[in-house]
Amino acid sequence: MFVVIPGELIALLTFPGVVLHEISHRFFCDIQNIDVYAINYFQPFSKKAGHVIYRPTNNFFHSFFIAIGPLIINSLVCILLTFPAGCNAYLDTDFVDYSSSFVSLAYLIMQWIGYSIGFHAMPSNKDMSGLKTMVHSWWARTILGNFTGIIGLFNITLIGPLLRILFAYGLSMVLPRLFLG
Amino acid sequence: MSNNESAAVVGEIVASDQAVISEQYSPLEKHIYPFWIKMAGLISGLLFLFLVPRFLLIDLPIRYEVYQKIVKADAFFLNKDYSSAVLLYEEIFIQYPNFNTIKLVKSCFALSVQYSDFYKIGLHYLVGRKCTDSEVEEMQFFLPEEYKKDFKSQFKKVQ
Repeated sequence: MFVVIPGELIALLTFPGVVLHEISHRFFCDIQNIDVYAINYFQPFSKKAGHVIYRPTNNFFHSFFIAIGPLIINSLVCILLTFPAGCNAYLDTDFVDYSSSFVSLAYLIMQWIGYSIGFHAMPSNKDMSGLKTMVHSWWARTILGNFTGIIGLFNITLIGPLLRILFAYGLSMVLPRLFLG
Repeated sequence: MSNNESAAVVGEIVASDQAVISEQYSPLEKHIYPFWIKMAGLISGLLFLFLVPRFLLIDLPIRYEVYQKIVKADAFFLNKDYSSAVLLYEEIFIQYPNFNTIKLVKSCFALSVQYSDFYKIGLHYLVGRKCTDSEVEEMQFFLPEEYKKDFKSQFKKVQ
């Protein structure tokens, strides 16, 4: 039996990810010299957890990097912050517990921030929607269509959150696999 | 937002119409963030700088050593060298009592074919542990026939 957790509650529980998601969009606007007019980093209990309003651009690459900013920045931050948790999971040594309660709590907080950030690494459908009209050749449309389609899977109500959790878990395994694998 | 999207899971970017925007807003200063975001970034950064070096220097070597012991013990177990496996699993269990003892118990049960004492030692490692049905089945697989009946009755007690 499926239990659908309201998106507002998910956003509230993982708000560090939402905040960094918006910061990532803004960061790519700033470095590409595109004006940002308004930004809402996080709005609790709202259908739209956050948003960035920026000057429209005709440059595909500018729009593309603004759209996938969270995929780059959230993913990198998630990889770094979940490194200890990822190592424990990779080595399967969760039973090794000797740290003080303060240090354990600090690990737990960093783990929560890291996985929350990884959970919100995927751009929303709205983030990607403007890109389709900016490419004209069939092959570019095909590649972009497939890419947008894959991202769209992460935004479907029933399986989206599960895929996002798996994605964040996968990100946490990147460094352990590189260094311990 | 269409019905099949997970509402409010992520934020959105809005590339609004230039004319409408310029009437309503003036551009924000680049790379200037609110105080609370700077503080949150600072705290996260400090947390990272405190915990990751600590993890690399203190925690990871210990965990990796335990991991290698488990790999070695598992290899003994797969090669049916159960006495060596028991020694290593026991060493880990003594150091870390939260260690999952199922493989240790299986090794003990396998040894009980030759030495009957290992049946009781195996049972001892199950005290206070909750096992799934599949784990119980796995353990029974290594148990000699003469102990199976006793195991079923004992198992209820140790649970």
